[in-house]
Amino acid sequence: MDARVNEPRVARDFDKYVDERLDEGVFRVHLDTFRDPELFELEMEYIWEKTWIFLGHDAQIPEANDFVTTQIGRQPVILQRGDDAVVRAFLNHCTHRGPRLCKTQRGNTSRHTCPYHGWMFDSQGKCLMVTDEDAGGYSDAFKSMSHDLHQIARLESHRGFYWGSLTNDVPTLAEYLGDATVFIDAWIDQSPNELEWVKGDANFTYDGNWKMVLENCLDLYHAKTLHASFGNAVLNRFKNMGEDERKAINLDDFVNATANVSYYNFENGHGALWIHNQSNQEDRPSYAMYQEMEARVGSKRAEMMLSGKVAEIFPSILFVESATFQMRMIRPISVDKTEVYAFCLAPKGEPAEARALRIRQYEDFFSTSGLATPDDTAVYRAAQEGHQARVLEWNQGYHRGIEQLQQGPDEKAKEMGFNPTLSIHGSIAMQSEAVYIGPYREWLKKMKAGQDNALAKL
Amino acid sequence: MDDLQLQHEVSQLLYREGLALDRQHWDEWLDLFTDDVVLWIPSWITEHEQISDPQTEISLLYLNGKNYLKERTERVVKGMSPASVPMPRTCHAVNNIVIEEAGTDSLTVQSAFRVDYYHHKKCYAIFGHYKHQLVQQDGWKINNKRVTLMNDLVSEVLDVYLI
Repeated sequence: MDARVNEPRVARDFDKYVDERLDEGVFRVHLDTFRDPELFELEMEYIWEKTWIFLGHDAQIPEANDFVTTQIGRQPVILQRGDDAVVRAFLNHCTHRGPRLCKTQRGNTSRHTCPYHGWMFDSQGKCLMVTDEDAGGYSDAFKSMSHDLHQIARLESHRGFYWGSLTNDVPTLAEYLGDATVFIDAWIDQSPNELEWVKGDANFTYDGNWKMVLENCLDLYHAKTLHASFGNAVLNRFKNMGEDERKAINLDDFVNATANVSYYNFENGHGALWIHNQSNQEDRPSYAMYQEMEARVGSKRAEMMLSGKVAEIFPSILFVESATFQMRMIRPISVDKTEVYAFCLAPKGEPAEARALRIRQYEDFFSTSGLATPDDTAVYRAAQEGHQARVLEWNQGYHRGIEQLQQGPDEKAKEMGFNPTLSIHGSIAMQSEAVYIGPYREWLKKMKAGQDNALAKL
Repeated sequence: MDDLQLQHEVSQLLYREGLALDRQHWDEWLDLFTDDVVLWIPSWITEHEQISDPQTEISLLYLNGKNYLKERTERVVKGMSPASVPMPRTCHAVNNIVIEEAGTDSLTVQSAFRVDYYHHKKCYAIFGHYKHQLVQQDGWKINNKRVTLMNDLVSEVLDVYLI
């Protein structure tokens, strides 16, 4: 919810920002969506603060009183397991005069004591003490107010993955995620005991719009060009170092076009891709548990679980598996600044050798100290700078695969029994960009609905 | 060897390391390390607690062997990585150098560092502590470089030439 004092505002015609003419083979997104600071504020208000935003995972807060701090759009949030084991989400804001109560990224506390005047709250958010209340000369009106921390409107979990919303006006989380959960479950089910958090923060910022990392993680087209340096390093390892412990994803799949890919859109802006027939699957850390997976879930699903795949749950979280698996929480700071909070979840019970391989591959590819992500962030910045060409309204970046779009599921989705709204299937060389249609349709839908609601309140 | 002489030698080695990076004299930099060098930047778990085991926890950087250092310098030289094209101008400063343990052919050296760099018309700084393990191999060589990176929310890139 946005509770700012309503002032007259100019209504925008958001249809002008997304040019969808699929019958003519055209899909374009206006460059102002990357460079207009006012539009960024509206995105925060109409999208981020009006929908489900990923907040954290059970494994980050296993014990009573554990908390993590995060944001929903611009708003500071605490996700905490109370002393009653129930997980809640509060605004990180003292009811009295407003200071942020939890100052660290994570911690454990049974009491939140405001440093300013000493009001105290428990880990369930209940106000335990208004300092010197008896002598305070308070009015009856004050005494009738709840002084408890403000719980956000909705908090729901999908198998330990928590999403929160600042407004009640959202579908259930299950409805929101829809069949995109097939992808999320493909990671969770890698172990019969689900996932654990591999500790260690490797977070980063970049000087570019938040939608750049969202697009980038669903983009196969850049792999061969932008990550040539990564591919080169991998080839040299095989040549110079022999069969060492740092096996990595093989970009040969892109060069030789032997693999093929399904791309999907789901309701509510979610996108996914799934690479089939990849080579060197045995080099993946998850391969160590493949036999067990196959016996438990069958070969088709086990194959999906092992494969390279990405799921983007609009707008806040990316599940990315190249050789190994990373979750990337997007935190927009301003129109041209974004923070990315990353974490590594891994199957419980993974053999130590596979775990070490997973960690090395994770650092190698995903970290900003690695051989791939720094090149991604460098082009986010370059694109942000390039988009200052304000004479231009559009780029041409959403057209690959547009002719292969099909309504509903492709054969692979049918086999697995899930129902995307759109599918694209083709050789890995197609590297479709039409997968962005779903996220930008949702962007447009939320911006229009948000504006309609804001104007209706005037 | 007296303490002052040893302190001088060790300081010169750490200064030369920074200078080789700032001058982009990559071979000179690589020559300072043993083949089995470990370059490790442990990540943070809480405000003041770092990970302790790179095999079970995520590091900010863990390079095990000189080949992996060379991979980084070659990446810069080849110019195929947009992250290092153009290269930032770097300036390493090392100080507070303390020899914590001194054996006959090995030393543990603690120091503070700051790397200022200029990239994209902006000034950045990375700072923290180094812990170098040195061994005698025709003079002192670096066998282990552990970096405690204080400002760990990385701005776009972290690489061997920035620490």
